[in-house]
Amino acid sequence: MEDRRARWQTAPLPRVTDPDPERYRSHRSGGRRRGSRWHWLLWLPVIIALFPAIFNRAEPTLMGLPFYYWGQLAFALLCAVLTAVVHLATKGR
Amino acid sequence: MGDLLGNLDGHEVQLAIFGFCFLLVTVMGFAAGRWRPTQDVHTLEEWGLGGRAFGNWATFFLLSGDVYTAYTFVAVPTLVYGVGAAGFFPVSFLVIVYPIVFVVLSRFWSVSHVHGFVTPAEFVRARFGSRALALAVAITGILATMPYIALQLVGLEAVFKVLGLPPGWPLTIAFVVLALYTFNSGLRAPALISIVKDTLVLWTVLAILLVVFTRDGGWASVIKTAGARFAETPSQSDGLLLPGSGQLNYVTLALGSALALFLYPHTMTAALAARNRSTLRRNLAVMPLYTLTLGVVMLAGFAALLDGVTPIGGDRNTVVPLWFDKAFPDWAAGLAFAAIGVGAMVPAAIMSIAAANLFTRDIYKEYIRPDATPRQETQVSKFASLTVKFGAVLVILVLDTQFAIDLQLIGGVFVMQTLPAVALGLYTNWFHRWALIGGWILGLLTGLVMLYQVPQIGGADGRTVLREHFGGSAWPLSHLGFDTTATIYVGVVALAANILVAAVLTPVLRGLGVPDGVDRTDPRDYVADEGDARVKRMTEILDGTPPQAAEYVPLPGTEPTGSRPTLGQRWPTTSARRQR
Repeated sequence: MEDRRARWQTAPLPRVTDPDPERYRSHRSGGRRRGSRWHWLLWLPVIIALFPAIFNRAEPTLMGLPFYYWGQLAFALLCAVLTAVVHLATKGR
Repeated sequence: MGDLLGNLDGHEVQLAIFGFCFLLVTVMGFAAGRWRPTQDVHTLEEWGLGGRAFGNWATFFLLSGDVYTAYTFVAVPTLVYGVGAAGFFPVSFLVIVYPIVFVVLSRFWSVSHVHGFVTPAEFVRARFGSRALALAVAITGILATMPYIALQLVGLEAVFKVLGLPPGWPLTIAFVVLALYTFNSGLRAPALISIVKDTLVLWTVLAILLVVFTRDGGWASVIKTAGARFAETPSQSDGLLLPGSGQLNYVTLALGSALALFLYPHTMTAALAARNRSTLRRNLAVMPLYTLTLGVVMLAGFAALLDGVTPIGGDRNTVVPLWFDKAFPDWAAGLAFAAIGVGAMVPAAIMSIAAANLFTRDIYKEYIRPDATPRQETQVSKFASLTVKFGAVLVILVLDTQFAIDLQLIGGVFVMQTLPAVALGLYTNWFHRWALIGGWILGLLTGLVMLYQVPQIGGADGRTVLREHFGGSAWPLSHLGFDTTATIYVGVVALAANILVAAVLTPVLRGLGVPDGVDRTDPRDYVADEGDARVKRMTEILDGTPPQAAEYVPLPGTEPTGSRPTLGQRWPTTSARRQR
């Protein structure tokens, strides 16, 4: 056990050269990709879901369903669309 | 189909179809072991993460199997049936969860692939350099997962009750079979049978829509009846819309459930099995669509009210299966029951694998046999998954269902307490390791005490106290002296206490000179993707090279200044590592 742990700690560390160092250079905080501004869009569904005042109403109804029910399902749809937009916009960066 | 099965009575038809689906799933479960096999199946990466090579479809089915479980499909419509609007919170919770996991889980995927982590606890050990903290995360994860597996049985049991099967042996057989093919095929089994589950769920949703739409009045009459029913009851907490006093609990419950969901080890397991970052993110973007199916099943709770379904023996979980039995043709009801049945198997398999991985990597390998070979690791994990599943069956058969539900309630609050270490840890290593442990302990205690204080209220007038303690997760604010009937979700308060303590203790411990752990990760590990130089190291990890942080040559202008670690950033130097 001791032997193994010692090996773990003294093994030479592989040096990795980043294939595209430019993409990190602009961010001092490190570990962030460019295009992360798109991620602000993701707050929209979260904020809507956290304020029931927005959807806690009966009107307008859709096929007999109060807004409370179909509205929240519509927000789930919106959530999918926004996440997909962010995914496509940030892909490959 | 009706003619074909003409000689059988209703329940026999349902049972025949249910049995057929069960058999199909069993065959697929065993065959899954041969699905895209690799040369060496005796590594934990293979058995416990499907070789980390799942593409789009497999990842989708795995994630959907994780999130939309049998218990969700049984218990949530029951809530809607019981209280109306307040029971609809899972839709809000699922709206919140995907944007969060989309961002957070991709970071977790990247760092795990660079370092070869299989569990969140391994990440915590490397991030904060603390074995104790990792053990805390592992134990919390295992404890929270076990009752969750038991709850899947509750869903299955409800279906068996409606089918008229006796309690006990059918449940045991179903789980023994599940345990065997999980043992054999690992994470590939749930991924493959989840295809059957999703097909059946989709069918069930269509059937619900068809049944309601072809009726006189459609949804309008369903909603009208439900509204009238809620108006009759003296309880203030039910209704077609949220009552003012229920809003705080609704929001905190949705937020808390969202945070708990992605901290559950099985969610992480499914995410780690994705082949690359893009696959994971693409699937998480599509996943909210699945919420629509859950929404429809929840509305079936209202339809059950209209049809005057009364639960068998007071077991409210039978409401939805009973409604299927009543409103669907027998063969269609059989398919719907199979959807719930297979829907119980998929998450139970993933959860038991996740718990087993935690045990193997963070307890067995860390404390019992550090020199275990990958083959031994896999064996241990396989047996741990068996143990976990039999434990769940025992809880349901020997103890009782209510006990499992109580434990699950506590488990959800507990697993949230790993958020500062696991989720915030993905962004910053600012927290001191002992401060995180302090916060974790206080969070657990706060959660437990608050849950103890929650009474279960019900009865004919809606005000009788049925049970004094552990009656739910909605903590009455009147405990604080406010004159209100409003309640708040326990987990969120416990988590706030946890984070507060961790944030206060961190500067205190640093001031006292208590050493920080060494962070073996690097900021760039968190955005790595398949094809990056760093993730290529996966082959080395699979070959048995001990995981270690790769060394970087920091780019000019990115080195931190000063000796103190700054928020979200620490560059361990080679010399610092060697000193350890």
